[in-house]
Parts: sequence; structure tokens; C-alpha cells
Amino acid sequence: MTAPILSARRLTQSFASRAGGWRRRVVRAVDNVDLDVCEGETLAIVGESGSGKSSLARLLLGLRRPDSGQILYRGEDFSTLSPARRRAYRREVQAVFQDPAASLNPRLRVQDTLAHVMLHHRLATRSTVRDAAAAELHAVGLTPPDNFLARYPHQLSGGQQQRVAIARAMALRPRLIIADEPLSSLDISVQTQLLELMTELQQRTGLGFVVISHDLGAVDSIAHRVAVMYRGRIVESGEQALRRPQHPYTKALVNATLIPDPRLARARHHLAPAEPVPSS
Amino acid sequence: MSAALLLDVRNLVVHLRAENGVVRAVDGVDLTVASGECVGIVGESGCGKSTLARAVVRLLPNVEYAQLSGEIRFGGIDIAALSPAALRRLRRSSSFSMIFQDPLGYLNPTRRIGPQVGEALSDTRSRTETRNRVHALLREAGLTEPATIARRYPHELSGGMRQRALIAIALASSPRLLVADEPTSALDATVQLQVLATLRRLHQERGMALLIVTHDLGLVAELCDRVYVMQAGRMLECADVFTLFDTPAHPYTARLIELSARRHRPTPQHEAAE
Repeated sequence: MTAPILSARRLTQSFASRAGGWRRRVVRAVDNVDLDVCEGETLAIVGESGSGKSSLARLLLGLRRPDSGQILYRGEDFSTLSPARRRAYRREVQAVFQDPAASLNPRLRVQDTLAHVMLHHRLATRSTVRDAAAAELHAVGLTPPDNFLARYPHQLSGGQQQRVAIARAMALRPRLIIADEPLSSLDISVQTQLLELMTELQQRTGLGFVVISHDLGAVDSIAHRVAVMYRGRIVESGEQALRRPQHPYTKALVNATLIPDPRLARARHHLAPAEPVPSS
Repeated sequence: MSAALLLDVRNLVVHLRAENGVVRAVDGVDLTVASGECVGIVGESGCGKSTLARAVVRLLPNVEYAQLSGEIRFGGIDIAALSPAALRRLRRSSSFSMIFQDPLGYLNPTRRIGPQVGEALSDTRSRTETRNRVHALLREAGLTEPATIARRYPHELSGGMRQRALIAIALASSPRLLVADEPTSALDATVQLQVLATLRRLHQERGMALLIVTHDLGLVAELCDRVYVMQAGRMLECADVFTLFDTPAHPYTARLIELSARRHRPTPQHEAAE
């Protein structure tokens, strides 16, 4: 077992909330969370809205400071990283968000979006950056790259936009990508293609993924381990968390997925209408 | 079956205004819904399913569409040609209602839920009568504490409760057809299942026909009797739900079914049953 690239230790984050009246209440969005993720593996974090999974993602990305607890980047406490190590973290740990239209700068052409990050991290020079950008587009299946380099985000479909967002992350040769609901705004055929792309990128480069999702089916096809979040806590985790759920919440979640088979679906609620006689 | 046809759409074409010219969003579609039937329309984003759904209840604003042609017969009346006043009368009298994916977008954020439901009631009555009727509708939509809910504003409700509030408004005119555009796509899985159970109960208790527009074959498998598959503004095929899943006629349908099935693992109970 390799050493984890990113770990959380007793991570806690609270927010003030006014839900249900004017009295301020404190909500523990992330409550004592421990987790480790290694290069080369995919950890899925599943849960329903409000379970704290996106808050956890923001903490892992260093976009928010936790109230208490630690984030360890290659064993070092994130809050005391030296500037050089922090730069390394910023390059090695990348993010992909749910809505690519919002996470891509609408005023930058695809080539400029990619050039920006590569020049910033000195992974390319002015003279090589265009070819480097083209290579990244090629790697995420946007071929031929010349058709996409000069386009603006609004000239791309949702699936293509998300590929650009992935290319932007991959351009920095990351060792871990944290993806918050990367698929949920996309059609199922596009989702399938992106899941295949993620698997392929992982096999080729050995990077790790943390995938945050509410879609158990999508997650199950790529995750090596699954952590189930409920009210800020990880209530269950492991390789079999979805296949052999132990916690009542996980069971409820698994049983609530719709079954794309009319007979099985209707057997569940015992309201099956009379089936038609096969007219062969 | 034709005797009991509630909705009969023939050769419907809808052109939408787009950035450069017009787009033929719905391209010569035939669609029928019998009384008390639950019909699904599935397709991927951009296939025109939402435009079709809005068109059949005449909810496409004039500025939005450039042209609508074809017949939309509801209970024998061609509503494609109906005047605004006649259409308004029809809406108030046991005809059709529609619910949407994002209920928040269709509720007035500055008004309490109760008056918003009351406004949809067709005839004038006393305040007490209206209130009782509103509470009955909210309860029928599955909100167990109607008096409390009626006093709330939309932002104070959860997503599932908002969708139920929208369902209550839709029920106010005692519709014979409820068109639901992605009614549960924005909801969490456990809430989704509960709202589906409510739609199924209303469908059965009221004998109300449902026209469900969705991208989710799981939803169709769960609820619908008959399914249309739509792609690029056209109907690829139509079959009863069991036939569609067993022997899809079109390769596109087969692929959608295969992708959904591959996505869905058998739940532990089903594994045990196998």
C-alpha cells in the first residue's frame, strides 16, 4: 500500500444556519471526517443534498479552512506547508466541478484557458504552449484539437465543456483530481463516455480521483472505495459499501435508486399492471 | 381505445426562435394519451421533449416560438387554434395542468403557499371554503400538515415539499391530464421515490392521465404504461413499457436501455432473489 497523497483527520466545519425560524443554529456540515486517498485509486463520496459532501470537497481542495482537524498532503499538515510545497499541492491536486459552463472563463478561448494554467506552473513556454494545449485536448478526446482550440466555452456542448475542464486539470500532470458532481448535468451517453475517459486517464497516468456524487450507479462503475456521507459524517465506507450496505441510511439510499426495468421496478411496489400477452 | 382518447396530437411542428434563425424543435410528431393512461416521453437533452410537452398544454409563449402547426386535440377540441380567452376557460375546467423540474421557478417567492394554491381554484367561494379546499389539495399532494405549509413561503420549504406544493396547484382545476416535465430530477433519491408514489396514487385515485417527460428510463420503468422515444424532434418509436424494454425497435432505444441497465447494479434484495 502506497502512502496516501491526501488525508483528512477529524475534519470539522460548521456553518451558521437560520433554517426554521430566526434563531441561529449551527450546522455541522463536516463532522469529524477521517479519510485517505492514494494515487491510482478512485474514492467516491456519496450522499444526498445537504450531507456535507461538497463542503468536504472544498476543504480537501483547500478552498476553505476547517474549523478543526487537519488535511495532510503527502503526510504534511496543509496549514503549515511551505510556499513551495503549497505550489506543489496546487499543481498536484486539481478540481473538476459540476457545471463546466460556470467553471470555465466564458471570455477565454479553450487554448487560453489551458495556456493560463500551464504558463502559471511553468509547464510550457509561450512558444510551446499551443502545441501543449493541443496535446491535452487530444488526450481528453477532443479531436482534432484544431477544431476546439479557438472556441469559446459557449460554442461547446456540455460534454465537450466538461472535457475541457478535465483537460485543464490534466494539463498540470496532477496526481489527484477532486471532482464534485462531474457528471450530473450531462446525458447518460455523455456520462458513460466521461466515465470511460476518467478510467483511461487513471490507467495511463496513475492518478487518483475523489468523485463526489449523488448518483450511486455512476459511482459504482469507477470507484474502488465508496464513503457514504450523512449529516456531515461518513457513516460507512469501503469496497462493498454499496453492494453490502450495513448502515440503515446506506440501505435506504441503495433501495431508493430507480430500476431501469419495468418488471423489477413494479415488483418493488406490488402495483404491477397486467402485463400484455406476447403477440408473437 | 380511440373512443377514450384524451389527447390526440397530429403532425405537430414547433419552430423555436434561436440565435441565428429558427430551429425545428418538434418535427412532425404524433402523440396520443388515453383517459387515465400514464404515458412517458424519453429522450436526451435537446431532443425537443420539453418543447413538445409545453406545446401540448399551450404553454409556449408567443415570443418564444416562431411557428406552431399541426393539431392538438384535447377531448375533441383543437386547442392549437383556440383563442386566449377560450384557452383560459378550458384551463379552469377539468382539462390539463403541468408541473416542472424546478418548482421554485414556478412559485411566487413573495407569496405564501396557501394563496398561491387558492388562486388556482376555479370558482369563487367564501374564505373558509377556499381555505378548506386549499388544505385538502395540499394534503392530497402528500403534505401532511397543510395548515402549516399554507402559511410558509416557497423558500422555507424543501425541494420535495415545493414540488408537492406545485402538484397541489396543478390539482386545483381537477385536471384529467397532468403533464410532468422531469418532475423528480432535481430531488434526492429517497424523496424522488416518495413523490413518484404520490403521482402514482393520484393517477390511480383520480383516474388522472399522466404525461411524463424525462431523460430517466428508471422513472419510465417505474411509472409509465406506454412510452415514446424522442430524438432530434422526432418520435423514433412508441411501445408499451414492457415491449419497449424487452424488444426495443430502434438501436438508439436499445442503447439508452443498455446504458441505463449497465449503470444500475442489482440491489442486495434482488441479488438475494436471483
